[in-house]
Amino acid sequence: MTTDGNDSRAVEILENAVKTYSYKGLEYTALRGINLTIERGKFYSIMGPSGSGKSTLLHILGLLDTPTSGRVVYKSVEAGRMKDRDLSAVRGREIGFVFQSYNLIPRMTAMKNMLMAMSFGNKIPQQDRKERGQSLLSTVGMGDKSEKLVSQLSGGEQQRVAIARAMANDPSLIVADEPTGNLDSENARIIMDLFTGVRGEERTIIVATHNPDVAKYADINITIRDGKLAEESQ
Amino acid sequence: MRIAHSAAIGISSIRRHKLRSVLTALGIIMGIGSILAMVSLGSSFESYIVGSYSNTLMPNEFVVSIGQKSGSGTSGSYYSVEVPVFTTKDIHHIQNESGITSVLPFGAFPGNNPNSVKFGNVSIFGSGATATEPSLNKFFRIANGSTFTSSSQCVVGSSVASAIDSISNKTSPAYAIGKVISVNLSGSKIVDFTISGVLAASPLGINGDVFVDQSYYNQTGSINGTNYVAYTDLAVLTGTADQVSSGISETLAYLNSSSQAKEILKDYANLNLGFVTFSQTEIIQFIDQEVQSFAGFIIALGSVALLVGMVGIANIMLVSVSERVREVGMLRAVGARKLDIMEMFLVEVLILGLIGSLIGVLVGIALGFVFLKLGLFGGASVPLVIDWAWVPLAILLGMAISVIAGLYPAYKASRISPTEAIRSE
Ligand SMILES: Nc1ncnc2c1ncn2[C@@H]1O[C@H](COP(=O)(O)OP(=O)(O)OP(=O)(O)O)[C@@H](O)[C@H]1O
Ligand SMILES: [Mg+2]
Repeated sequence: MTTDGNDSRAVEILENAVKTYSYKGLEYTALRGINLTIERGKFYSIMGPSGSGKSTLLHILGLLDTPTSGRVVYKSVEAGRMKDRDLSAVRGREIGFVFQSYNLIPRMTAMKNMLMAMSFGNKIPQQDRKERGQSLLSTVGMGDKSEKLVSQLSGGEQQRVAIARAMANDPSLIVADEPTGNLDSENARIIMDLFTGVRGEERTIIVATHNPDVAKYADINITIRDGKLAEESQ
Repeated sequence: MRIAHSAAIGISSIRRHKLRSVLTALGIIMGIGSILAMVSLGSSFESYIVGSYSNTLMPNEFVVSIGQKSGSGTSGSYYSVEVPVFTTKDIHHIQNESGITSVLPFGAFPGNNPNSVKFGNVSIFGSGATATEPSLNKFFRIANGSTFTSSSQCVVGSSVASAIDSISNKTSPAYAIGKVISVNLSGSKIVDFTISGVLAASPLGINGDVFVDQSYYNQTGSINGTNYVAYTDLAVLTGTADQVSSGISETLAYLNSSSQAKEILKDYANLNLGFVTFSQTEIIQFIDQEVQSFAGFIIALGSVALLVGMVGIANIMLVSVSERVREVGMLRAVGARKLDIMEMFLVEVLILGLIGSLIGVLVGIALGFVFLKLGLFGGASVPLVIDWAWVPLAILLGMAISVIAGLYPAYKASRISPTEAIRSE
């Protein structure tokens, strides 16, 4: 366990994070020593060519994956030393992750998917869940489709439900991998406005994107190339 | 609360893959089904046999005969032989034992041959005469008519009555009453009797008997050269059913020690004969044992089916887990713990097990019914008796087996990493 007294605004710190994938004996290093401090209340964009390691980085920042070497410190606690129970609690209650490929349970309704996330997060009081689910779905323009099966929704609609779900447990960190990739520019704008609207003193947002218009919403733009941070511009 | 959601995911998956779910549960269905079918057959068979014995023997009654002492125990040998050994003195002695209220002697006539009983000029195969007293009706149930009241009447066993029916092309159970049969009592002594009553069908081996008055009987046994009138079997009534077992042991104790019957038996030493008894309780215990060992065998078979079912469930659950890697990864990403994932798959397999067991119970009952309809027990129409105590047990067993089968797949599922959520399919 590490405490970081110098930088009380730091939510998460990566120290020399390296990620090597091995697949059928072949090794591929997707991240080659990333040093990064994520500060509370800031909006980050991560850009870079396809295959540069954006998703890999987001997974590590979202505590879905661990680096092969290096350290991840989340709120002063080294992630590698957290128990599954605690990691799951952090994922459920504090982090809202939006996958590049919107990931929902297709054979359940949009609302059930929302309730599921709230149930695993176990943070929102039971009696408020339905109302909260409905209001979040309305915010992403899916209010009238909350009882539709996910499998009956279009890709863009599923992406919006996935974004609503990421916010279900009122997370302090939202990590979104290409959240607007499947949306038209109008809906992309709605989502980005939504992110801007919900960020605040305490809520940090990290978005990976190919779209420079999306990156414009961010306070800090990070560029990654071949698994290394290329530049960080404010 | 979490478990409710785990259950909801499991149920939605079962509903999504209905056919596969049924296939998954098939092993359980067949295992539980075959166990339940066989248990039902066992209990049907048991209550049928017990029912037909209690149709013949009163609960407060036992029969003493001579049997070939093969096997173990003092009773249970069904190969009783007709040897005249029980003397009047023996009968009096047994009658005076505590708890015993009355004794009825039976004297089987020797040389029962295929021609010993005739209806008209047709021989009734496999039947022979036995002398006894009119109080016969207090010991064996008379299904039609009444006991004989004179030496020109007789009571016949059920197969004699049905033989008369079939000779005359009749089916009425009371048809034989009032008919006349001629009986070859011994040697060339042929007597005509009017049938006054028909006994209830019995598994005791008396269905072919023609019961006539004792006055015709003259078989003897000898002790040291002196001849005594001796009977071949005794039926004994006790005051209550509880007194049967003590009555049996007292009677056997007497017969094996100071009885004249024991002395007479010495003449047959080379045949290895001994006293045997039959009573409702003894017979029910014996049948219980038979059914138990039968059930044990069948349960072993059913267990094999369940084991196969278990492997099937484990296999298909593994497939289900690998198909849902993405979903599990996503659930892990939104905060599901390893435990929640295990729970999710266990609840799913538990529900499958429950459904499988319930269907298995229905299949088992149906199978039992079909087997009985097919006349498994020699064409006898045995009514289906379901042992309801087995139903919840079978369901619990099916569910337990399913959960055990689901443990490894559920564990495997819990090891899926959250990043698997992005795996493309
Ligand atoms: N599970 C894996 N096994 C092996 N290699 C992987 C795995 N995941 C990613 N990679 C490789 O790591 C590199 C970085 O992948 P990543 O998904 O982080 O890129 P990305 O920047 O998100 O790309 P895109 O913009 O196309 O989404 C790629 O070359 C990819 O092939
Ligand atoms: Mg990516």
